[in-house]
Amino acid sequence: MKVILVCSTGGHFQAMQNLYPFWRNHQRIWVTFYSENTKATLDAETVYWAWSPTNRNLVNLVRNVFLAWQVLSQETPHLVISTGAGVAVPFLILAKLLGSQTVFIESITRVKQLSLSARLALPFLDTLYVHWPQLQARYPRAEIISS
Amino acid sequence: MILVTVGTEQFPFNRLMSWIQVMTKRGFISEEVVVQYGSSTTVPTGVKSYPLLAPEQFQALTKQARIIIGHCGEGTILLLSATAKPYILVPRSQKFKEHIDDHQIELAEALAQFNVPIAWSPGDLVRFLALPRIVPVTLISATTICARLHDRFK
Repeated sequence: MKVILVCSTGGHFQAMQNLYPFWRNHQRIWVTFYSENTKATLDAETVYWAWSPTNRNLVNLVRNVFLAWQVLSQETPHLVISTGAGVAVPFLILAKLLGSQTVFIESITRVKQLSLSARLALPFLDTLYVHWPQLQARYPRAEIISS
Repeated sequence: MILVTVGTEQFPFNRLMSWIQVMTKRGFISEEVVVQYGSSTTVPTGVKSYPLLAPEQFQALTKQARIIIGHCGEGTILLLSATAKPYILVPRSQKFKEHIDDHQIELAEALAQFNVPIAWSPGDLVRFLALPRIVPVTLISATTICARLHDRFK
């Protein structure tokens, strides 16, 4: 299966790295921001570098919409997965419209309300995983992950 | 050694930086302090400070540290769930433009119910530094997520 893994840097990237037992079995393409850490970690992987910052930055949002269109129409993945944050929104929305499956794994740091990225992408998600029962109670469509 | 980390977040966390500064100046902290200050624009003086450490360097420092002080971000929570070090968490607040919303405060309140040391003030930091406790955070399981993903998308 061809999978696109899209996430910002820092904790979101770490969370995606931790899903190695899943994505190692699949053909994968990464979309994240360029940093010394991501560059070194993804040395042997296929990567598209997205535009940052994405927090309320309209110009970069437009650039990332174009990037998402380019990557998704070129790669036609079966599945797009994100662990957050903003960069994921155009990828998940366009992926769903183009017929891919979409998964968002909400950050452990979200307890009472979904992140803005998750709320924006929600209508275009096949699966949304959350970590806290309070959050699942508020968004019944979400599935809870507990250890 | 005390390791202070505020993640790769694009917003500064100057409030925590100034708490550290006050505590070292007034003698509440006398041991070595290493600070990864990220996007903060105020950095404590008289301590070792870095905007962003290389992953290997950061890992070595977490091993060396007696205690870790961190913000309530994803990377820090993942780090602390993988280490058996005492730690103290300080949530970023929207009011001080430390994040786009108050989810770190909500997380801190939820974690406080599991007895996780949360510092709401410099006084809390002093108190927790004097009596470090190890609270295992076993909330996250990448294994569980992978199993779910595997079942759904074979």
